[in-house]
Amino acid sequence: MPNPNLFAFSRSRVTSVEKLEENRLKSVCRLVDTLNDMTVEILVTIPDMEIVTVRASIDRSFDTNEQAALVDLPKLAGVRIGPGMAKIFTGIVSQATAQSQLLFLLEEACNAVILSLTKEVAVQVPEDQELTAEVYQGMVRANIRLYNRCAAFAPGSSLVEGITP
Amino acid sequence: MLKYQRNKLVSVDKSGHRELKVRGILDDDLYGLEMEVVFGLEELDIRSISGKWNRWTTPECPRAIDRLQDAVGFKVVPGFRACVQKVIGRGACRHFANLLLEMGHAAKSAALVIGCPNLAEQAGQTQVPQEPRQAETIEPPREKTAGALSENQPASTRMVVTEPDRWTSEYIPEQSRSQPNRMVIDLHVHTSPASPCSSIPVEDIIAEAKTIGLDGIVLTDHNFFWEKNDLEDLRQKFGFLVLGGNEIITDQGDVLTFGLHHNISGVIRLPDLRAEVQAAGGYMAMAHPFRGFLIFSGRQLGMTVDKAAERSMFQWVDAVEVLNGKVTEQENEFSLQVAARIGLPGIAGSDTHESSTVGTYATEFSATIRNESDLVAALHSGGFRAVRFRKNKNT
Repeated sequence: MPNPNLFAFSRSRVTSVEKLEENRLKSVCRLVDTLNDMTVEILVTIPDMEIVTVRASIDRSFDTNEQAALVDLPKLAGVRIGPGMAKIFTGIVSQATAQSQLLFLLEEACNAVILSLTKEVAVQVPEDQELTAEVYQGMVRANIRLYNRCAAFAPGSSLVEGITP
Repeated sequence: MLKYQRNKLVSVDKSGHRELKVRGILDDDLYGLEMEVVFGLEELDIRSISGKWNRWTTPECPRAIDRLQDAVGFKVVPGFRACVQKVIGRGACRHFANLLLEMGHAAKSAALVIGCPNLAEQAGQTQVPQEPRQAETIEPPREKTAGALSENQPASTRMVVTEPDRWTSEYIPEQSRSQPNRMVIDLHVHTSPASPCSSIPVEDIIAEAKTIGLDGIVLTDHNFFWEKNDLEDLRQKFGFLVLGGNEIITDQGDVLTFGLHHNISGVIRLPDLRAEVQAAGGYMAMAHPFRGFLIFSGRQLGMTVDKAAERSMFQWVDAVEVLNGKVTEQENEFSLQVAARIGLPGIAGSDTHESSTVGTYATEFSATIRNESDLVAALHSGGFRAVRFRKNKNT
């Protein structure tokens, strides 16, 4: 039996997105680890991708910065989820909040909203069929910002073959 | 109805060599991946890293695995996040980067727990005993309805009602360029090192702008203030119109300002920026207002022109950047339609970060512009239009 003293730290983070009504999503991110138990919930309007409300709660934490971040996060209501949002978040909140786990929870909740849209596209692909490189090349041509966005869309990849930024 | 779920699990074990062995799993409706990273206990430096995919989306996603080695040597210190996002997020995969950030933070927390074994107990003691402490919910301010323009806004904003086709000009033919009392200026240019995202020195941009026949450029580096003397030196050196502006980050997105004579650092609320620009007698335009906001992950969001025109951000600006060289044709077209619907004039700029794209789009003025005052006056007069200028735009 392994020595349990070797075990130092454990963390889980769960993020989920629910559709509340036709144009409204709720995204919740909860962090539970050896030191913290905290949750951030946002409501987002579609298609604006605007954060309408922010709720944050702390059940357990030793870090006073996290407590301070609680009152700071609701200031982010009104910001749009999308490109550049992280920079806007850190620019609006205090420096301490910018470093907080609560803000990271909020970002995770926002990213989950984007990924929920990605999933909507992904489920349209037939189960026994993988998208061809040509389909991805078309996506890159339509939106050149995808080029070199990650290893899959970097030069040398079949997904960007024949495309010059 | 549940639309999406992501779970992450991270565990940290002490190893016998003053090291932390961190295992992480990320699993969601689209991606499944695992990593094992060894951190030094004192420095929190990454000594080894490995990862594997369990589920991915494109046939080239596996290319990310080899690039994970680029993170060896990174330390969990201020700047760790930016490093991981840039090197692993862009070089490998943002989902691996996301998990690595989680693991780095967990390693840091584990080091705290090891150094202060009572910390976990203290965390329990500082919890709010009765009910979870909760931040208040705040509804965002909904100041005014789009279209009902403020009396405080400059006259140019209230007066200008322009037909949509005013901005849909084609490329300006060579023979009609550089006519008297008519100037074509790229109003949105970034240079290095003033804009960290640019790699081209201002001298190279100016040389290229002259070569392709522009009459001037406005340097709109991010939250950077060009000194008047430096701009004058550039004008003298190159015999070319070089003016200063800004691209300022607001809570509602990026805004181009002209005639604002001081720097604004960080992020400012859009109404506050409005007040500053008005006090300076300047002019401001919403930059690339729909960049990346029409399509997410290939999915059309269903944003309509009417809906977009209701956005409160347009009430605080004098104009909309309707042609921008860094956005898709669809996003430019949408901006054109929204500006027309609201009745705001449209400006254009390349948003170039490299010399080869300066002048892709520009703004044509029906006046002679010799300095910043002329520029601001011409903008307020409304005597301009957004044009396509450089032919080799390939986005």
